[in-house]
Amino acid sequence: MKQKNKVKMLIKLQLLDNLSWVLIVVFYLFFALLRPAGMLQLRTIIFIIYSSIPLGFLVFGTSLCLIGGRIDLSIAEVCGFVAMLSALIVTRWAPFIPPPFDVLVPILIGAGCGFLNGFLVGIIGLNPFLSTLGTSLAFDGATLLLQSYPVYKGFSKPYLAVGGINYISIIVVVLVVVLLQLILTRTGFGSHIYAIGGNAQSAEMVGIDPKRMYLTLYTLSGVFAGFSALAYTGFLRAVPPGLADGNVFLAFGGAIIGGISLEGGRGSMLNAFAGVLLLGLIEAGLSMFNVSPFLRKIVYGILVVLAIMLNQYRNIVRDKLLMPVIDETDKIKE
Amino acid sequence: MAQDLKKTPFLEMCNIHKWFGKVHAVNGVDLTVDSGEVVAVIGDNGAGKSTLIKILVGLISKNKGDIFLEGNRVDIKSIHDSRKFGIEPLYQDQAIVDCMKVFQNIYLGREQYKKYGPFNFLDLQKMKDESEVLTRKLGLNISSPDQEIRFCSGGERQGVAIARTMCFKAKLIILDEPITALSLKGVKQVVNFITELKKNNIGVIIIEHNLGHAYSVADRFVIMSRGKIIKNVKKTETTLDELEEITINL
Repeated sequence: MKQKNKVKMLIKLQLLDNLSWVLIVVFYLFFALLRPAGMLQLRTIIFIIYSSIPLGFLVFGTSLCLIGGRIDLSIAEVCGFVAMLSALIVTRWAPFIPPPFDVLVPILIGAGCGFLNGFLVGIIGLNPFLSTLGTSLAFDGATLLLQSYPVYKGFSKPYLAVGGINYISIIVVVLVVVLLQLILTRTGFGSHIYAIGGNAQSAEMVGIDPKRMYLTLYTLSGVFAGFSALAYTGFLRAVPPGLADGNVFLAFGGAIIGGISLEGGRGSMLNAFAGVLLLGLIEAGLSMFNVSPFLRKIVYGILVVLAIMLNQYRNIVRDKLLMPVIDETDKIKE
Repeated sequence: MAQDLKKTPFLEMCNIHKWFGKVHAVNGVDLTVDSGEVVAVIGDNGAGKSTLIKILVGLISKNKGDIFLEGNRVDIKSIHDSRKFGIEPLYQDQAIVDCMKVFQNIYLGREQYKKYGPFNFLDLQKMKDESEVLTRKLGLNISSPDQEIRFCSGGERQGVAIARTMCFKAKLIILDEPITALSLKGVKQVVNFITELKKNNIGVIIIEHNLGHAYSVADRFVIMSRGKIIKNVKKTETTLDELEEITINL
């Protein structure tokens, strides 16, 4: 009987911890019931995954910072800036960079932009919200200063492949998700990210250097902005000046729907990925019904609010399930 | 010769000075701790006890003075240095991360790894198994090393923090107000932990501003005021009343 209860509890916990995957199934079935002809096709499923990937990289960067207890508001603008600067470098200023090495250009520039954020937040100790808000404005302006019209020719095939060929795009994102999940759950570095996100002061007391960790996290966030820039460029086959503008909100939405805690120290990259796919699925579903882009924005907004409420409720239920029987007289400090 | 070796204390801090601007936070302090000895450092806020301990664990640097461990002069510049020498601080808030599991907290900052080809990954099973052994040894009633620490009681959290220090073969453990804000049961648990440490010949420094908390477990009392030691006495040579008299008149 006891064993049966334990199994029941473990199943409940698994469902709660992977709620975003459960929601994907629910929403998919919902749309499939309404539009079986469109939704039940394999190419639709592949397109939903493929079209979610550029935003997905932004969600990974956002999620990493959030798990580490920090916020990166500049990730979308970094992505736009990196995409434009890299496009100009690989097509005009340094077309001699041999493919496929040109794909490294946005990754490296992204890392540099992320390093700048990391330096401001981690080393100087500025407020992460305000300093990344500042850099976001600066990167936005810098993008327009570089060029106020699109770049659409001169890219090499490998440069466009990461975002332009669906199976390559999917393979890359799956590898990145697996790698990130492995790093977070099976390495000391991953464990330290959760530790600084959960309690930076305690982490420092046991010898973890939060400054260095923040620097690394923001740099990684920049790297993912670089990946996203590459994916957007391939997907659109061009770099418009407003690329990824305002996508920071969607990136946060994806992370939160995926169960990443805004308070830090909690979350899984697999579930964050599910958050992105859920956004992609809803986008596809709404497109099938010709819902206007303005209405879609409203739906996304409602979805994010619902996700926050759902996360809070999930935490309460999870705590109830996990709470061991504690002698109340001994229960913790007042 | 053997007699001399026996007399060498594990820790000897000699003539330690620390200034913060014009404030002389630690003023020529001498402190010794033997292996298996429990020394209570008592003093009000601003007495210099926390500064002294921070110097010992390498969180801040001293302006003057020497530190000897087992008779050898050492230079402790960081918390990594102090750990290398077997000195383990245990802070007031236990340096615990609430959202992490018991075994993750015990090994935080010093995770155990297993090699998979060229890669080093966390050895989760080993950490869980060893955490279970340690928590049992300390008599902690934690259902599983996988339990999140926020579900633990105050005494259990203190126990986990102590398990962390024992796990790494500490020779000297520093407890910063380990009893404050604990329930009666929690206090009893912590006293048992300290007794266990003594049995294992581990030296203990307890930082307390409340004499009553420290009296039951300490072997020696060092009372500090305004950066100086004003009394250094063994428990056998004093009484609680006498110590209270001194602390009241600080």
